[in-house]
Order: sequence, then structure tokens, then C-alpha cells
Amino acid sequence: MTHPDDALSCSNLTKKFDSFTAVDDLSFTVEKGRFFSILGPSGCGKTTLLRMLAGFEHPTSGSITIKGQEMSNVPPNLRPVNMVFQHLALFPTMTVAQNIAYGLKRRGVNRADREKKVLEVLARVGLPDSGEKAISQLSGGQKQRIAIARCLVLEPEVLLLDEPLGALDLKLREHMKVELKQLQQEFGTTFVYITHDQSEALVMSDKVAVMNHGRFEQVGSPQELYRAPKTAFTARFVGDTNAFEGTVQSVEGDRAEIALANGLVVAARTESTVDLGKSVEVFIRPENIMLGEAAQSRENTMEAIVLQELFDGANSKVLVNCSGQQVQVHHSVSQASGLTPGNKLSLSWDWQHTLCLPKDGAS
Amino acid sequence: MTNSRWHFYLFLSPLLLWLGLLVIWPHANMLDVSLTERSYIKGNSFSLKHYRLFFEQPLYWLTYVRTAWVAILTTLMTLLISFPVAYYIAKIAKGRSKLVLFLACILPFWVSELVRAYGWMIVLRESGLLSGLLLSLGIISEPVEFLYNDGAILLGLVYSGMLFMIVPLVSALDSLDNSYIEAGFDLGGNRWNILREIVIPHAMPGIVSGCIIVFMLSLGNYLIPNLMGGKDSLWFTEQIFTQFITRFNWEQGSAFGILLLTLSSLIVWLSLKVTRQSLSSTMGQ
Repeated sequence: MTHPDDALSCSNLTKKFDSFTAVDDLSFTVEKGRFFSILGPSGCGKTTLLRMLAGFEHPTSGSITIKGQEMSNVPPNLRPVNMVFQHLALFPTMTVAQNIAYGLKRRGVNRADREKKVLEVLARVGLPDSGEKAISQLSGGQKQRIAIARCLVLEPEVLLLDEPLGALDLKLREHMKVELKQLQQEFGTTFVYITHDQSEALVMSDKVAVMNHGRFEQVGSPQELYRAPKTAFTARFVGDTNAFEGTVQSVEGDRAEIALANGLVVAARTESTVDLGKSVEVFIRPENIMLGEAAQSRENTMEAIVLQELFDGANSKVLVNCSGQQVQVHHSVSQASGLTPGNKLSLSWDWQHTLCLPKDGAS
Repeated sequence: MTNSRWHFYLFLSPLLLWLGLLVIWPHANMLDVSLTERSYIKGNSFSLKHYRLFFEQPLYWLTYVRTAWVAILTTLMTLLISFPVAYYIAKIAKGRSKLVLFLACILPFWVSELVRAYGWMIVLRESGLLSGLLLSLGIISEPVEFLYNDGAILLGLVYSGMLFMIVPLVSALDSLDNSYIEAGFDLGGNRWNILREIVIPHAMPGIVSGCIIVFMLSLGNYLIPNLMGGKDSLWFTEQIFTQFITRFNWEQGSAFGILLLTLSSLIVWLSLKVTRQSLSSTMGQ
């Protein structure tokens, strides 16, 4: 089963707390040198999964293999993985250099090599002169980098990251996303990153697993997840989208016609098999909907009334009402005329951009 | 003077009165008395005689050294016993059992120290519970007196100091986030060096403040050495008591009092230096 290039593989991994199943029969592999994200809402089991990988929780059943070695009886201090904690857990009683040297010291690296390695890794994370600083003297972003340096200096097979950007403010978070990705590429270490923020997962990862109720809904590249979500949960969780409920009226190849709850009929693309008469959900991303007269030629059209303009620079949207349902539509700044509340608009979009998926729990 | 300053001094005045009248004034007075030689013929005059006597009489300074030594030993033993207890309460016990355990540590201290000392005497005396138990088990053939020795003093002092060690230790260890311990394991540490390099440095202010309190209480304790160690337990506070009450030599008693104060201050200062803690970081937490 396991491939030599796999840094990490799990099979049938399950964790139960009394009657609650936090991680439910998961099997997956992470290739060496990849940035693998696990994306899910809070309570989906992602933290439990990460803690099992680190060795702080014991699986109820199933196995974890890291670099071809079975991990079930290996305690956390002997596993070839390191973890960046949610609140970083940099030791406040030690200096930056002592923090980074802690793991090396435990491995019995001698003093001279230790000092050399600490300086090296500090230079690589861009904080060459911080060795003697106390942890409390660092800024939020610097602490992040030191926490990562403290792990990477040990050259772990897999680096586990537990939402380390959660505590930062938005600007810094945006900046750190790029930086983390660059650090990962520079060191070539396999990263397993858990987050509830879809934008973090999309920006940084090579592969993302969308997790819900202890299971992976879908594993794929960020592009795949965004363009071709396989479940309604993924479609709703990854990126912004407009969702409609409806029933299947006709299917022809990958094209289905759906009667929506508000009486309209739309054409949609479907990859999973959907049966006639079955209730489904239809998803259209805000950027795929055209506004106004110019787009009349497209397959699906709807009449709508402007409710509100949601201005956000290049990411501006307009909120409209389509027969009782609110829909978000992207609009470019140049299109901004005619968006006064109460105005009538026509919306249109291609059927290929319309995704029809079975309702959650119905599949 | 503005109104708010007025309030500040008004609220400060009880503290100032307390410090001034009950701490500073008596001590200044004691220092003055200790340096006075009383004479009916020549009148009172300045003299170092009472301090000289302390150094000339081996009984006095040996008792002094012995008291300091036993107090230090008491402090270390209290720390060794209390640390695992505090660690268990702060880090391992959860929810209700945590509260129950903490209360179990505090509860005995609702009873007066005198009653607790008598409690120990009931257990340890020749006709007491321990001796009786060992007799009935056939381990000893005749009753053994467990009281009136240094072991009994140490036991009593450790017991009476434990609360004052456990409370600051629990609060110091409670504030250590579990993720630090997990991070230690994650980076390859084992229990022993995580304790030494992460847990103890974090708990250091609590350890030092607990040690200072227990040391001061033991050094100045009169009741336990006297009751559990017997009348001749050679505890320095007994010497002070004897000078003041039995011999009515207030000058000598004052000199001993000042010497005891100097000793405790010196040892506290030294231990702060050695552990690189400051009084504000340990007491102000």
C-alpha cells in the first residue's frame, strides 16, 4: 500500500471519545515535500487527527505510517514529526536561541554544532540577529517564524501546523500565508496544515482535504476543489457560492435540468449520477454570473432586484433578490452604475458553471 | 493637595499605621533595647555586651545555627513533598477531583495549629496510636516514644508548612499551559528534562515564594518545636522566650530577636540571589 515517496500515510484511522467519533475511518497519504492542508469547520476532528499524528492521542483503531515506519507504539518524543502549536508554545523562560536549541540538545548534538545550526536556521527564516532575544520581545510574525524554525532545525519528516495563523491580525495573516508557503518550498519539508480558513488552505496548499464529521469529503488540489467540488459541503465550504435547492427534471449526459424551489428551471453540470426527481442543490459562484443586458445570450437567466451593493474594491459584490432568494454576484467597479437598491437586473450564467450536487446526507 | 491625593493617603493610613506601630517601631525599639546595658548604679549605657555574649556562649550560637539548619531542611523537604502533590492537583487532576484534592489540602488548616500539634502528639507519644499499632503487630516489643526528637520537630514543621507551599505551587503550575509540556515532548524531551527545563523554570516564582514563607514560618515557629520537640528542643525562639519571660532579661532577648531577624533576611536574600529571582517577581505574582 505505502509508496516510498509517501512521507505520511494513514489507514482506517479512527478515534472515538466515548460515543463520539472524532475521526472516522480515514485513509490517506501525503507525498514527500507537499504542503497538505486539512480544511474543516471547528469540531470536524481535524485537531484530533493532527494530535494523533503527533502522538498526543492514541487512535482507537487504524494505523499511522511515517516514512514507512508504523507509529502506533512510538511516543511523541521519538516520532520524526514536529508540531507548530496553535499558540506556538515558545518557552517563555528561554531565549530564542535556547528555544531552537532545545530539540537539538535532546538529540545530544554537541554545543558547537548546536550553535552553528541555530544560527543557520535563524538566517534562513530571516531573523539572523534574534538569538539572544527573549520571546516576549518578538512581534507576532517573528514568533511564528521562530516556532517554525524550532521545528525545522530538527529536520522532521513531517511538520504539523495547528492553525498557527489564527491569532494574527488580518494583514499579518495575509503576509504570513505567502511566507509560510515560501518557507515550505525552501526547506522542502512535508507540511500538514490544519485550518478552518479556506483562503489559507487554498493559497498555500498543494493538496487540500476538506474534512467534515471526522471524514474527508474530498481531497484534491485547491483548483479542483474550487472548480469541481464533489459534495455539497465542499462546494459551500470552499470559496463563496450561491446555493439553490431544487429537483432534477431531466438528465442528458453531464447536463441536467433542475426545477428550483422558486419555480425557475436552470441547466447545470453534473458529475455524480443524479436521478430524476431527486432533490439536489445547485451552486453558482458569484464571479460566474453576468449582470445586465450584455449577457443575455447565456443559457440560464434570472430576473432580480438589487438589494445592496457590497463594495470591497476588486472583490465588490452586489446582493440581489431572485424570487425570494438572496444571490451574490460579482461586479467590476466599471459596471457600478445601475446598482441602486430596487433596480431591476437580469442575471445570466453558463450551464457549465452551474454545479448540481446531491443534497448533504442524501447520497 | 488635591482631593484624590487625600483619598490615597486616607486609604493608605491603616497600612502605614500597622507597619509603623506594629512592625517598624517595635523593631527599632528592640534594636535600641538590645544595645543598652542596664545598670542601677551607672544608669543605662550603650553596649554590645548582649551580642558578644551570643558569640561567647556556644549554646546560643549553636542553637542559632541548628535552628537555621533545621528550618532549611524543613523547607526543602516541604518542597519535595509538595511539588508532586501540587503538580497532580494543577496538571493531572480534572474538574471536581481537582477541587476536592485542593480542599483536602486546605481543610486541616481551618483547625488551629495548637490542636493539630496535639493531634500529632496523640499519634506519636509513647502510649500513642503509632506505638500501639506497632506493638499489636509485634514489630516492637515495648512502647516507643516517637516524640521529643528532631524527627518529630521536622515532621511537625513540614506538616504545618505544606499548605503555604502547595498554594503558590498550584497557582504557578496552573498557569503553565499544557501545550508547553506537549511542545517539550514533541521536540524530543523526556519527562525529566521537561520538568527541569520547562516546568521548574516556569514554576520558579511559586517555588521561591513558597520556600520563603515556609522558611520564615519554620524559623520563627515556637509552638511545634516546644510541643513536639520537648522543652529542651534547643530551638532559637525558645531561647528568646526564656530571656524575655523566664529570666526577664529583655536586653538579651532583644539581641536574640534582632539576630534571628538578621538571619532570616540574610538567608532569604541569599536564596533569591542563588535562584536569580527578585522579591517582586515572587511575591508580586
